[in-house]
Amino acid sequence: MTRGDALVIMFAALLAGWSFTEFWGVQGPGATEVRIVSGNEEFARLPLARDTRIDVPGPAGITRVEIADGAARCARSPGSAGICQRAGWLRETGDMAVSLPNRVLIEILGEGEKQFDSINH
Amino acid sequence: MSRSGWLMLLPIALLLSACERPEIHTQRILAFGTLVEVSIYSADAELARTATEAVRQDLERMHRAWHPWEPGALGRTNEQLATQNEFSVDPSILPLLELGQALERRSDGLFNPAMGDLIALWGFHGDDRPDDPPPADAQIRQWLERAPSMAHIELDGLRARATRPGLRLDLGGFAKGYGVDRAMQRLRDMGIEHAIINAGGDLRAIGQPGNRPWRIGIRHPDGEEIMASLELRGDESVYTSGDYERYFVYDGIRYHHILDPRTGQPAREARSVTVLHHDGAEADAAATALFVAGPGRFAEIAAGLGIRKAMLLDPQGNMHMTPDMAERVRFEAEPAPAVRILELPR
Amino acid sequence: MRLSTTREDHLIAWLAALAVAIHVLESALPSPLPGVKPGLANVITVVALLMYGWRVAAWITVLRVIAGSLLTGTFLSPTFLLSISGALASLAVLLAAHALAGARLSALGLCVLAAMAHMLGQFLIAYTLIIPHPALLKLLPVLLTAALLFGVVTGTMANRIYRLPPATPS
Repeated sequence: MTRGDALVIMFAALLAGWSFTEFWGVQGPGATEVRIVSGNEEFARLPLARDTRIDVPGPAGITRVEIADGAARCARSPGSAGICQRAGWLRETGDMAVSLPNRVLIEILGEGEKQFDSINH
Repeated sequence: MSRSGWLMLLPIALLLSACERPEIHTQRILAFGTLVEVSIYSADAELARTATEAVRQDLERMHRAWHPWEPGALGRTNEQLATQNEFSVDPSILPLLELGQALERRSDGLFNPAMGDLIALWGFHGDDRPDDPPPADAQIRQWLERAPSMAHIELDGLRARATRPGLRLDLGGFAKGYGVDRAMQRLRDMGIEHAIINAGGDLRAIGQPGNRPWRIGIRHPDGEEIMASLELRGDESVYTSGDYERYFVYDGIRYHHILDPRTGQPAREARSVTVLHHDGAEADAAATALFVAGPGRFAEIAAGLGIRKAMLLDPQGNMHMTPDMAERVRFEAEPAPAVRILELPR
Repeated sequence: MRLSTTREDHLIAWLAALAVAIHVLESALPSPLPGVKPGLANVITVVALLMYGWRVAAWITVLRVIAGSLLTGTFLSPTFLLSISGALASLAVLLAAHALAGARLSALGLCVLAAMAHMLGQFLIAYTLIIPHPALLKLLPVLLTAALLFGVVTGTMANRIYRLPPATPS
């Protein structure tokens, strides 16, 4: 066996080992993604790690979603009450903002034990 | 590896996934004009997904049928009630009419699903209420003079007739509660034994996730904070009505959507009411009626509706509750509110 | 008509025939997990690459896939697509590695690379075109581990064969 062979086998073993942790292991804790639903369809699924802005069209106009510093928020949305914007920055798993007039739902996905299975409000 | 080889791998792959312990699959959907959260405890993620989709379609269908202002079954019923002539009630509406009449009677008229015109006067019938001025006193007085209620619908088998003008049904949350009950039945029919359906303030839970109960948080009317929690096992509904669900602000005054049929104004003696009960539709009507009743008539109205577990947060921050509710609820926020136990009359 | 054939043509024909025979035999072997196979035909490709260069190795691979699929009646079927994608992926990696590393990689390293590339190439096509089911990803670790082990086994065999003294013509 040459040194090159050893190197190849080591890399192959590393790759196999990594695949175990990646596909069999538990997901890392914490919020990781934001999911945006428009109507009944998933509109986008974006990582919280990358700062961006996205405009989501709906029946009442455009809902703007902003991602920055590992959190997402509803920056602008039709609807005079501003319920969507008032949810503020969403950063924990399960956090969400909804615009009912525009039928847009913004929610944070990720692993992590939640204290409550559901919230009555 | 051949194609058949890969295809044979799929069952093994699925088995690998299925070997995982059951978990809670939570999906949020927009249905019934609100945000609905469906949590299903199962090892079968695919079943959870299809079941949630079935629930969404059911709720959307019911929402269309029971919308007071759209040309569905309830919209047509409202048009015919307005003529005050006799007509045949749509079979999907009849059970709601009968239940609505019974609940209105038992709540001494505080739960009134015939206030469609009053709700429209306040502008709470649409998805979005701009911060326009509240209706003029004269308009409200005019509605109060007619004071339409479910008692003014004559029901004779499938035939119905309104005996008063201005009677427009708006089932509001009560239809949502009824819809959640029906949607839960759909989940059961699909073989799901452990689930929560949470449509805004209307929550029904069956079974339990593994060997612990379902944990439900109840949000404080003022914000995101969880003020109390409940543990649910078996089949129970938790319904919360609050002044924060729908409101507008005009001239510095906040007007919310829970209207008192006696005054035509938003009810002022409560911030939120939570009812724990088995039947969703009854719990929903009770939450509304108890909100209007306020602490003063809380025990009397609860007893009339057969509700044993309920609590009410008043504008001063005190919590009024039945003895049975006190045994179940746990306060999460510090400091816990002052609690007043209201004994139910025998 | 007479085709003129070179010595290399004959060599390719012989080795490809051998590879096809191994390929067909191997498909008759029972396997713990459907589809996980040692890939013994790789031994021929790698030895040919080391002894006769990349042209011969490439020809053997292509002929083996085409002849093998004709024999098993899967030519131009989805099976063929999987077969050719695995073979081409492994061939590409083999040729690149041999050209770059030269003698620093023996048959052992080459076989491991070929087996891993073969598995990944097939998996990619299977996952994207045939069964785009996320559950399939759960199998990838097992498949990669199997590929590594069989790569080491076939590589050891290839090393032995490569070092055998050339047979004297009788």
